[in-house]
Amino acid sequence: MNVEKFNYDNQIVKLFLIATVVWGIVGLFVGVLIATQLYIPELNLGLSFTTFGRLRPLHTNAAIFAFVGNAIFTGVYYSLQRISKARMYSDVLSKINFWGWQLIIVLAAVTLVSGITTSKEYAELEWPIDILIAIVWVVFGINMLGTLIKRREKHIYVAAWFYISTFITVAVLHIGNSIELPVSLLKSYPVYAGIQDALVQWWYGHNAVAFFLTTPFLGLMYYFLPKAANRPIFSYKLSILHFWTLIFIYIWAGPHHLLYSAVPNWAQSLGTVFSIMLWMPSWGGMLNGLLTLRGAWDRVRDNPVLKFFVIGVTAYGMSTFEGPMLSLKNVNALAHFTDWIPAHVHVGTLGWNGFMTFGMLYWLVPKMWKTELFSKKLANVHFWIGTLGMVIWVIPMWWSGITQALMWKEFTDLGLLKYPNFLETVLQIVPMYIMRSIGGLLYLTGIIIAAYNIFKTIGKGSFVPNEEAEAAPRGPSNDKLKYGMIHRYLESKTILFTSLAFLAILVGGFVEIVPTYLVKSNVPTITSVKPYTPLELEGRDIYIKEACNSCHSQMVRPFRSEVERYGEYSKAGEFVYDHPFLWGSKRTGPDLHRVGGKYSNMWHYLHMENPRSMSPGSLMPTYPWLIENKLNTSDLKSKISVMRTLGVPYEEGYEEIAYDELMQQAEIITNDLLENGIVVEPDKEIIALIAYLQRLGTDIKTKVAEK
Amino acid sequence: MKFSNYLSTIDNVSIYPIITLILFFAVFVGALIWIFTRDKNYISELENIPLENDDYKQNTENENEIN
Repeated sequence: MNVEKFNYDNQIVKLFLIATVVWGIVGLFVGVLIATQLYIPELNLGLSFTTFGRLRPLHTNAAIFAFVGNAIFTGVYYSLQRISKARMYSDVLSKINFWGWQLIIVLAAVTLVSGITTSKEYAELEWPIDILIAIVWVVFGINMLGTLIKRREKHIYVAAWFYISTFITVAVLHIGNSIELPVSLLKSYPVYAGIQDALVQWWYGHNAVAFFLTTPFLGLMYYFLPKAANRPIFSYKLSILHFWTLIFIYIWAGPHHLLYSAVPNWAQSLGTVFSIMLWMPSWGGMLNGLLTLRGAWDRVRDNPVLKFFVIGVTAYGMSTFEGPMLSLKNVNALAHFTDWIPAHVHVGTLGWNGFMTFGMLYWLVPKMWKTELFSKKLANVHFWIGTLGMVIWVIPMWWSGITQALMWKEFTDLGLLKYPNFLETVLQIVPMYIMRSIGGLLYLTGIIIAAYNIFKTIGKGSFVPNEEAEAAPRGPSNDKLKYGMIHRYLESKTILFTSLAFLAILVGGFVEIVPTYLVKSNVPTITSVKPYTPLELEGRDIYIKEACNSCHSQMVRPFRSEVERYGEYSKAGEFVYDHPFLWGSKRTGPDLHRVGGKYSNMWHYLHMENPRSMSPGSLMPTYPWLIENKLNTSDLKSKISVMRTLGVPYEEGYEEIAYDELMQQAEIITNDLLENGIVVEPDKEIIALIAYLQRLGTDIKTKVAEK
Repeated sequence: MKFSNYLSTIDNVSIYPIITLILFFAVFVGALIWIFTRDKNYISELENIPLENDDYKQNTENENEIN
């Protein structure tokens, strides 16, 4: 038989592998720090860079895109070469992929702590970085598809299907959610507003979970689990059904993040129905993974790699049961905005992504460095400390979420809220926050132990950058009829297969998104809703810069308990000028949609300076720099004109008088503060923020007052 | 360019969910048919792809397992 000799590129796998470990430690460290800040707010050190709002997106981006992202590339670059029996398509593209991705991570870290953010969860990076991400991602895609095209293996193994769908969908999601008009190099506004922006964001957010945290890891599971167990996957047929149903259903489920919000009811129900359907393919995948170990469970006892995989796949099963359950409207009414949601997310990330990654690393490192793991005992310690850390993280957060939700909703016999002061419900869960940070610390300790173990293993092994291999070239297949002509044809046409998968995803996405553009029928216009004044607009950008929406929602749901606590429930028509929407997804602090006019200017000033002076026991960090920093209005003109381009009805030429109006409004606020004994210049950031907060939710209030 | 005014109406938009449902169902049934008409040897060939020894040079498959 004609056999070709070639090399596998292990060097690129090594680079991604090291980056995975390094960024894993960084991302989890920031996680532990912000978890601790939630009960020791002084740990923000009084600095803007180290405050929760700035660090929270740093944590999520580092964990998802730096740690998990590099782990995906590690696994894909290793396994794709083997299942294709070919070297990566281009070494240059591999290098651009690696260094480009690390550059993005560094730029992300610098911009996020500086408060340069779009405020959209898991898509916080500003437009120049968005473009860079798109380029690097496409480089990855070309490299992957190129490898598949020149492969020597006749068939495309199922893992590669998951990789292809990952590439295509993440590209579509990233571009779709990042359509924004630049105001300056580091500031932009999304073209969508209000409920459209919310729907697009959660179409992205939900599918980022699906196609960045799930499908690539399922691909890795289908490769590394059989490798580690040394037996084929339980059912290859199930894996195919799993693939098609998963990618078709996932794309629809986004609106379940917006239940009971101002989103049209039919879209909410659609999200719920598809979320429940999603349970089946998810569990199909989980069972396929676990059943692969049938008859080999004795090996799980003393093989750390399999231990990590078993817990990883089990965590996948748990979180994909929890997800559909949370998307039931009655469960969601309780759980949404509470700590239950981070608990759900962390079962997936710590358990599924983290443990699958660790299992993969413990398998790969001895393999690539031609040696044995330095210490099996340390790997076992990592396994137990990681598992324990996860349990201590997640259970207190379930507890805290349910506790807080029940307290928010409890009424006395007289029909009044039992805990009218939001702070009472926060103080109740502080012990749970302490537990959570201990759990996080244990998990972080685990990955540091892993880093040491991997470092020592590398030290005693010998690395081969280009691993020699040989395989027969892929010849023309002459057995088409026997194996099913159509599929074999598709399989041999990588590009065609990719296009079909692309179409499948696009149709789902399109049908979900398009009807929400039908603004006139879905968003009833409210005539009293007016665009923000220049000062309020600048204040809103400070709200975005400090990521107030990390802890405060702006969405009063139509429940008696919420209307009683916050005021009139939020209407779709109130958000038509909100580029971007700031509904938030978590209430660590109270909802702010009706905060306008609730407190005096003085209250807000003193509260931002030190929240505990106004609300003793509050967990909110101090914001002293808002009082010292001068408001930067250099982009005001272009902000107004970009907003007008997006459909906000500022009159032509308004940008010319905007600054004067801004100063007039600022002086009204400073004069009011002065009357209450507070001396402050009108050009400080705090004044703009106060103006925005006092405006929030008042459009409808005005209407009621006029009546 | 007023973005929010684009696509303010689409005729018969309610047909979209139906089309997608049919499409999804067709793919699902298609996948099922494909799966149940596969030859055993073919499936076994596919599922063994990752297990084919890729260390041609040193053949250290079993030594490298953490035992």
